[in-house]
Amino acid sequence: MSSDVTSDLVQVRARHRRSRLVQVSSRLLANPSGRIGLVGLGLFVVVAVAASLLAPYDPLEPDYGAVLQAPSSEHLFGTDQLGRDVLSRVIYGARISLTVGFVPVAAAFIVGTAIGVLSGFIGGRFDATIMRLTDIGLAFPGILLALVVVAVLGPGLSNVMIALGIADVPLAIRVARGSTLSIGAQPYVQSAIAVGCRDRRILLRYILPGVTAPVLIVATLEVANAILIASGLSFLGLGAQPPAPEWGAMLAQAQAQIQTAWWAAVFPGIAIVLAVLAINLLGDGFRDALDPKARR
Amino acid sequence: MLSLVGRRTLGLIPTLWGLATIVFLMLALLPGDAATVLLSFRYTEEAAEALRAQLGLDEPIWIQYLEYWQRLLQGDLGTSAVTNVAVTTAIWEQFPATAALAATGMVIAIVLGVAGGVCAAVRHRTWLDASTIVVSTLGLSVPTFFFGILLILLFGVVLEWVPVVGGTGFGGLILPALAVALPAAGYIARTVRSSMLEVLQAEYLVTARQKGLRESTVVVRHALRNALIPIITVIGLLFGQLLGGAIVVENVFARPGIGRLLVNAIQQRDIPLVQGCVLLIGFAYLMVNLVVDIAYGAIDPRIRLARGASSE
Repeated sequence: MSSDVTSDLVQVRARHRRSRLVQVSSRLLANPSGRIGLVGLGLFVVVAVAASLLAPYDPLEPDYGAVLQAPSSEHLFGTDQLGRDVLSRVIYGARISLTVGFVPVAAAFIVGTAIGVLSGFIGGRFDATIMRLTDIGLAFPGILLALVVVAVLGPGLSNVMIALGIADVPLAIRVARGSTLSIGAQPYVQSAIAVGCRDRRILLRYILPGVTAPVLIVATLEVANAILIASGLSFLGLGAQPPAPEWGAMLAQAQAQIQTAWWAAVFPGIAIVLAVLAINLLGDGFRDALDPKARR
Repeated sequence: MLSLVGRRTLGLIPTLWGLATIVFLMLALLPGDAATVLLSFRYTEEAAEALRAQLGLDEPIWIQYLEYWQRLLQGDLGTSAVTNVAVTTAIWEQFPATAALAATGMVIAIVLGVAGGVCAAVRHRTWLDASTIVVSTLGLSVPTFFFGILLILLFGVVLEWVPVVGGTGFGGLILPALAVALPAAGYIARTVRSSMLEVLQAEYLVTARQKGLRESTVVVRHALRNALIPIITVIGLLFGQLLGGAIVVENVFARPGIGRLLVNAIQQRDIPLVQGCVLLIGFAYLMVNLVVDIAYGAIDPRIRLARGASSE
């Protein structure tokens, strides 16, 4: 008898959880920016995963017989100063930029959310100390922190990823802590504390699910930002090094031939814009879908 | 008002300490032996010894830290590891160019952003509104270096109005400033639009119109003045973005400035020069935010009174 009730409860809960997921994703798809962003990002992910199937040429192999050729049916985006196919390099570039955008932000937000939730939940001296430290981190533009880390560790793509990850932790802590405080004040959490739930259960069961939405919104927008900063650092020669087909590095090399070969600069640039735009739109869509109050 | 200035300035002290300490730690956290990294191909036993003595690298870290503060408070940022020029001299030579770029960029961003945002809000749900949203969202997604290259392509290569690199004078300032301003302009336009939409619902605007004031007076004098308050809060933050943009854009246009100095210093692993540039950029950013904060309190008496009352 009692086991029947329990299994009923489990089913109701599972249905509830599924319906929430369906609800959020249907709201995301109903939102025009969310829809465009999701489709756009999806295309970039497909291009990145299937790069070796999609790219018509080798992205690294120079072809000195076909240097700086204008776009044609053979080379849709033309060729660069070493005769490499720009389209193939742009396709492989999606792999680098998506990795550089997602990995550091995901790592920073996992670590930052854990610290932020604990900081908001524990409160007191621990919370005050964490807040003073994040204050310092947040007081400076992200690119400055990234430049400091790159200056210490030296140029290179993996160091840029470390830099982006470190620079994002204070922001993640702030967002997670803020929503932990507001959720902690909700009646359902207060009742859970009142009936004597263990801290672990309160954190994992009642607080963490509510923190996920705001964290996801900010993290998505930060991925776009990370791709912008990483391509900027690579453009400056501090990130990906030649011959890597990184979009920012490609632009830097193409700038020298801008008067004769616009295509070598313009196509990688458009790739950055489209990727960042798709993720920004997805972030806007997330915000509208997860937080109905913020809708305008 | 005076207490506001005092409070804000005191509030800056922990952040300034944090900035200086992070900059100090850069040298201590260098992987491997700092003297070897700094000297790289110029490495000799004697040079390394001299550098260690000069930077006090053989001392315990807390003595190094105290000595760092002593030098910092005397305005001594050390000497470049590559050129042996005093860091302060190298920085002051480049600072005016970057300040001019950032200031011009800020003016362009505010003019374009406010104009775009107001037009969009006044013509809410028309093509003008829609295109402002599209353009400003694009502005946030276009990297400044790509926009800079597109400007060079348009004005330098296609129209041939300006030289492709190293333009001087007005032309050499206006294109980089436009490139730097783009993301900030997009952000301002979005913020102005949404705060204008809110203000345009207000009842005092109905009153103003019923008094028979001209529509332009209602929009500019009554609506915009109140809608600008949220903008002032973000101007400090946008200035940071502008400085970051300037670092990149100076390199696109081969324009002198702190950004080029900093990037060259990082590439040559000239850590003392990097430290000086980071200190200056961070300090400038904090000062602008301090001024913005105080101006905000001065403009909006609600803020000044509310915060004053709660803290006293």
